Amino acid sequence: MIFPELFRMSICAAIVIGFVGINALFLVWLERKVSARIQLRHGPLYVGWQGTFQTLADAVKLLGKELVLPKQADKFLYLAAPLIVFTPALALFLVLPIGPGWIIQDLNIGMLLVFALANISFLGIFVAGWSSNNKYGVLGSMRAVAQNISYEIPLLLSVMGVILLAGTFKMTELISFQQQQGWFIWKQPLAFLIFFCSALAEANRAPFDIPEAESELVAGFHTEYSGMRFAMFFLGEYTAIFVSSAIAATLFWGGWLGPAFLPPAAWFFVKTYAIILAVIWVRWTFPRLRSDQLMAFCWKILTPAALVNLLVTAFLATWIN
Amino acid sequence: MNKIINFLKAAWSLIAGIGVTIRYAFKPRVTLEYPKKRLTPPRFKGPISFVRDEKTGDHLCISCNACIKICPSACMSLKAERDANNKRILTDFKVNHNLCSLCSLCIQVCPTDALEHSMNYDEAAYSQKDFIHDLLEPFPKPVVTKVKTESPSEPSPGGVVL
Repeated sequence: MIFPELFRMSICAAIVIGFVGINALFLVWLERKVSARIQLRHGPLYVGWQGTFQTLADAVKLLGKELVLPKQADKFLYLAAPLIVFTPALALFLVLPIGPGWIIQDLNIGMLLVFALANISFLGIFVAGWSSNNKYGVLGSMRAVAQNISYEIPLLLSVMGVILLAGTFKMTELISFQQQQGWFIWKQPLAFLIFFCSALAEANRAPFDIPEAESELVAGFHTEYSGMRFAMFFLGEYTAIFVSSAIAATLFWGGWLGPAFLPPAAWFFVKTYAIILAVIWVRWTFPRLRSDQLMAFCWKILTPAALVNLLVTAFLATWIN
Repeated sequence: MNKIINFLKAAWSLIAGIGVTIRYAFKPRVTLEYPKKRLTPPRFKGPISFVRDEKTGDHLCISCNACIKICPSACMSLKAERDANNKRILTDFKVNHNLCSLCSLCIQVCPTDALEHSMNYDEAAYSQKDFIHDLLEPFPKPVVTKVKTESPSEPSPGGVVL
């Protein structure tokens, strides 16, 4: 019967949604504290110990805001856009290997599903800008679409090197390959850098955040969104960051592998949050790239580098075998 | 060749930037946690107050009205009385800090250097009346031995408001 499976899926869904909420709260606080540290100031201090409840206070504030629906906006698209942005990030939790055997669904094409789902959220951004009936929103969403579809290519090509060496798309087999043959970071360091840059650009983050830059196009594609709908975009962004870091940790840094003094699940989270710290660190170090510099970086630097990496990897793999 | 050198220089600049940020993360914060810690800058120009003479413990004002005449905001007012020895004794000195612009002209013109800026910056209050400071408050109440009164100086029109 399907009932045990349905029950398991429901429990996993509840846990994932709960985790996503808590993760977003934690990440917003972490980002504010780390950015404050880097800028020689304190960050949130008074709401809860060291400001830990500040995000909760912000969420309560956002809940109290008026939900505006612009008059000429396309109502269905306008309401659907935050969901389109948020849901694929949530669905990606399906294939994250948290521990040995702790994976919601160990698909044979796990890695492929990651890329397929990551591609859907940019549609939500496009729809959000378009349906707002606001020229700044449309401009922001156009730039976001261009950025997202361009950076999908180095993202995939960089991971292809890893997949080539491991010979499988399955998450658990990728980790067992790393267990026997060493982590992929030593064999594919360039691929990690390319993946890191592309994941940042995919999440509309760090030096690549032209689409949502507050000082640029008013607020980019989410100009007309307020209150909880705005919060959904942010939830989607932070979840995407978490999932990208988790994938990077799994592919390049060995997932849940690690010395025995911590349980494997703890190693997974430690590595993921270390990469998230690096993401936050990069955001507060570098200035924003202009739209054309962004495109040039993707097409003239990252894609050739990823192709060269794939070529060299394929050559060496054939030659050594 | 130039392109490659530029590329390498740019890549190095990225790493240098990362280094700067991580160094700054370990420096002490420069934020002053305001209500718990206060700043005492040595030359802070706070509200006007009287100087307390070290020897007598009294104020130094001789009620010459120089500060009142020079004030561009017309925010000062004083009252004085003559005592038995025909000496002027200050009985009332009010500065209206609703109007005072802290320009320091009164401090510069005072012949006895009786005025100064205080260091107080916690001046928030609930009504305008609280901003009319009585500068004689910290000093012992003046005692006048004879009742011959000097005409009080008048504030110019549009001066002290209550």
